[in-house]
Amino acid sequence: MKNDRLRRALRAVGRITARIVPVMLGVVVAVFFLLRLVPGDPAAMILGERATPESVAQLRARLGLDQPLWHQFTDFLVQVVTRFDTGDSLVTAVPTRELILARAPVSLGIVVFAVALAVIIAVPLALAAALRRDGWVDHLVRVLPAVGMGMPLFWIGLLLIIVFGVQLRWFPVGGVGSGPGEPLRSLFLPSLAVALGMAPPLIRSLRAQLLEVLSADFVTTLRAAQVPERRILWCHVVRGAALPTLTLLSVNTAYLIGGTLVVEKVFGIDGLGTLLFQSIGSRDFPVVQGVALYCAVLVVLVTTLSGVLAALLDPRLRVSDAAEPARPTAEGVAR
Amino acid sequence: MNTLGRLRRSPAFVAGATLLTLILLAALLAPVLAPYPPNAQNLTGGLLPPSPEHWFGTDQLGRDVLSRMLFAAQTDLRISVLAAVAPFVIGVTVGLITGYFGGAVDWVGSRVIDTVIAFPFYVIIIAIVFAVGAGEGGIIVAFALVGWVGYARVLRAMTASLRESGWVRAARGGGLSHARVLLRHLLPNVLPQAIVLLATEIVLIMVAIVTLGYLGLGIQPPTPDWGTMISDGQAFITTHWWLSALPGLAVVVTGVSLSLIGDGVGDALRVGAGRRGRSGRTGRSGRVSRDRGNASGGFARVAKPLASPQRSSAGSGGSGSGSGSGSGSGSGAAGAALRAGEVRVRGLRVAAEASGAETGPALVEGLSFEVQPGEAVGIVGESGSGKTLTLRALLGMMPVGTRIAAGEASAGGPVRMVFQDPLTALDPLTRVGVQLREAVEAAHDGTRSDALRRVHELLEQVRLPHTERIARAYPHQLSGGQRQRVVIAMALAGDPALLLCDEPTTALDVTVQRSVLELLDELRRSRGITLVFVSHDLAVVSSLCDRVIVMRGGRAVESGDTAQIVQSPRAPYTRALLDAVPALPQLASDSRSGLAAEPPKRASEQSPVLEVRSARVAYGRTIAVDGVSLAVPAGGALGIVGESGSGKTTLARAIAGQLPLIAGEILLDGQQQPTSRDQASRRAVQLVPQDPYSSLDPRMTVGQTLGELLRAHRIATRAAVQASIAALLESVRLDPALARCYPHELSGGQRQRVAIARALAVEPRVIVADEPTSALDVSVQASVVELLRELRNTTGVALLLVSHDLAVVHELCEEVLVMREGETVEVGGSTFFTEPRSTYGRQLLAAVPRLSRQA
Repeated sequence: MKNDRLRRALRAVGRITARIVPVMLGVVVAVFFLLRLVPGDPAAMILGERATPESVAQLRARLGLDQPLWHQFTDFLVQVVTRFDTGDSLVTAVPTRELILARAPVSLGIVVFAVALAVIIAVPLALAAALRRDGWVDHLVRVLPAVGMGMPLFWIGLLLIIVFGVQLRWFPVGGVGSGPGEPLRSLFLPSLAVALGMAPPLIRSLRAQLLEVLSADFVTTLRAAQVPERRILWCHVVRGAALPTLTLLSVNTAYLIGGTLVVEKVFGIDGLGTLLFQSIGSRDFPVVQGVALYCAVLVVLVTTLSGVLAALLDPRLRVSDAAEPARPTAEGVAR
Repeated sequence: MNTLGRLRRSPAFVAGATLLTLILLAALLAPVLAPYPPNAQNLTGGLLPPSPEHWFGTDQLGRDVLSRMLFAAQTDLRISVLAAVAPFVIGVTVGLITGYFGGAVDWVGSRVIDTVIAFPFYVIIIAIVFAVGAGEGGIIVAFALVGWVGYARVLRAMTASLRESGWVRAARGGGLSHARVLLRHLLPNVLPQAIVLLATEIVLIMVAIVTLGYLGLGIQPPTPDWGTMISDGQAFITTHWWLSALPGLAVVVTGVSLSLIGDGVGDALRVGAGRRGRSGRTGRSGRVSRDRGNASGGFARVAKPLASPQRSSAGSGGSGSGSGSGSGSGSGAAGAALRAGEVRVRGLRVAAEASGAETGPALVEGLSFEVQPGEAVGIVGESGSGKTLTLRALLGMMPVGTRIAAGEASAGGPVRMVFQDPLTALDPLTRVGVQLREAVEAAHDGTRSDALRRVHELLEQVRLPHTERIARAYPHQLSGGQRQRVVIAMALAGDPALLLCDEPTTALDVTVQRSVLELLDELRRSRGITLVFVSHDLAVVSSLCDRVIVMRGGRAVESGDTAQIVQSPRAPYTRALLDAVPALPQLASDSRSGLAAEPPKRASEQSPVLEVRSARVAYGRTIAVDGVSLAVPAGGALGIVGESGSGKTTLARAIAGQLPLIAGEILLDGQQQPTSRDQASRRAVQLVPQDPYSSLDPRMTVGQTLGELLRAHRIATRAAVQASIAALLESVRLDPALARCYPHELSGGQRQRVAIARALAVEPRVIVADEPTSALDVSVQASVVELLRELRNTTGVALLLVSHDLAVVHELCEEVLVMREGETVEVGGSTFFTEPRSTYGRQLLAAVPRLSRQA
């Protein structure tokens, strides 16, 4: 029995690994070839027009560009796998990993804060829309995605600064303050901007999920058994819609991180985004590669974890222990 | 083409198109409209507020903001469109190819898609533009490398699911090439979705271009661009907020117009949206999932708000806590008080709720009947007869979109209902015991432990073993029969005086059906529960009910004692219905005589047209067919019968060449068939799929579907194609004028005839028909069976009929192969139906409900 469970857990781990490894490898390959997208000599591009042939040759050697391509890649791969690094910064000579890890907490703070705000905004609206079909909330919710999609995140950020920072003066217009509660206050507007950006699609699909569950046959069964409406709503309908919403949030991780990086620039917050844009300004290639790599790895990890979580929460995806699962009915049940 | 007409009627599209036209005009006419050149500086007139000279003010260099916005529209829209082309083409191609071919191609494609998706969109776009170089070229390269994944992912999933549909299988089975199937069949069906995606992708690209401009990586100054304008304005945000706000607004308005167009196009391009008919055997429980549109606007009639369900005039409401215990106190509002379990329907009229206050067409009209306590009454009718709506009226919960327009439908005492589809009738995320407990607590006050005890009592009453284990199980862990017993237990939890049954056994296997019917009968007799039982199957009803009401088109055609109706029906419709029910001969009473029966002699000594030797086929990871052998002589007919999970459909697909054999061999005219067959042998075996709703390409007319095959195989000359199509349609008893119709304009029976015509078009040696009648109404079913019999005689084609329906097999086939869990149980001739040799064969035959007409 115990042995059996262990074997099942091992098999699950094996399955997850088999899914992650190719994607991780793909991410490393993509980041590696980023430098090779540069038309002409990357070293010359990095150093700019005033570079001497000697300095270009020096940089080529430092970046390993004088090696055969295959060598370059294996070196890069080893570096990434063993040190989680994409090389030293060309400007500060500090390992990229350290630069990134120093700034990651601020960016992650915005991401987490934004998810919380998005859920707080989306869930009540979606519920109101689904329960009062064709009510005013429903109409609003149906228009939102069309408007929301065309709104650049940085522009939402600017509007928030204009309204809450400049006009109302409720929040600081930029930077992260120190002192008790200050970081939270400084991160509120950037997080809200990201949350407003992701709320419309979230509301839309949550509403669709709720309507789907509301129209399911089992709701009719429960109603026919005269189970109280309140109980049907909270114990069956909302729960049924929660799981797909979790999946949706994880699918949006990439959007969240990308949005956070852009919004940091608007609010002048020293996070990963600012690091990325600074490095672009100084053509610090290893750092640009590093930021891209870390973001992608984070996305893969979050999606995988949420997949595991969904599998744990959904009895249909869990390995059954109560009875033999019903055979998949490919026939007989006409459909 | 009526797509254009539908577009014009879509308010979203009209609004979006108008808005976008205005924006495009403004952009194109920027040189004319703009009051100033975009880059004309005036350093003394910098940062002016809006005024009659400068409507939107001037920026820090004194340039007119309005003029710059107009010119920026030109640049941003042009590059957005340019950058959208490559991703569209790449994405559609990758999606189609990975979805269609599957296997290794799909694995590689999916991993590449996963990799690109792992990068946050802005991070990867920014990095690529940085590497390639900022500006127009960099933007276009970046989107070509990244933007295709959105299309690829969606279209891959669509294509993969379409690949499994009947019409794609049929197109491949008809011997059409991969390229042709991809371009002529799959591409037209996924293209609308791709176009809808294109509208949203252009918005994303435009927003991204503006964002790049804001970050200094996009369009380079001095070319005006909304993004750089916003970025320039940010420095003056505390004093001159409009410098940033106005260009942003331009982005939003453009985005809205494109999104609206996308929504409108999405609605208009759906063929036959919302007009899909319902099949005969499924989807009749008032669900509307079949004709639901997409997520954006198609929820028109899905769900009511969670207000308490409408109650009928009496009975069910408020009788929860044991009030209906036989005191005869139906809390009826209309008419005299009803005894517990008594049913009264008077002049019932159910109407569809049309939009607005007006009443739609009547779905049930002038229906009246009464049921005495403890009686069992059956309501029989084909799809659309209004039988399910009558039940819902008695339950007091009308399906969304219908209402009781007139009359009375009332019952005394608590009313509960058992639903058709046990697969969907239970909450998949909640343990069965909890759902049952909720039903108990809804009906009775009492402690939690009382309720739990009752749950186990109920599970025992519906004859479920190991009640502890069942209560802890989730629905998916139970079989169909077990789930239906749980649904019955939920109904019993309310101590009903009246139990309404809506086709409760239709979705179940015949042996399971038998046991559920026995359970219902026993419950009725031991507890005195009144039963109103709805079914399309007269035989099922006659085995359970004392009286029968025959309904058609919302009206009662005939009613009376079961025996009288079955033996001497008065209404012509009832007679037609009875005649249409395929009959099985009586089983020989002595089981031993069966064992003595001779094994069937081979139908003929000549070599069979189709032979299968010890075939082993895998479906997914399980071995679905294991060591089955069969032979069909030229012009012969073999029926493969079995319950769900028996592997009969898998075997049929293997014979048609759609699934590979693991072991064994398939011979056509004595020739062994390799895994990938040549065109001629693929033509020789044609599959008629089960579901008439997915068996035809929705975007091709009947004539195009047939003509394509005729031309591809050069069966008819170019000039003769039309005549051949007409001849084919006539051979399946269809009006040749139907050649111009699209599948959604046809009924289920007509579609199935077209599917048969398509199989005949390539002049096959063998037709493999997979449950060709199971989704059809009884009367339609009978005519399709008749057609198949005729075709056998006229064309000499051999028939391999796969069915769960023994009666249909008996009508059509002279040989029977019984399968169970992938293995052969019995092979027999027509004597099988009276004297089966295997115990399982006997069980199957005994479980079939029969009409006792000759009795």
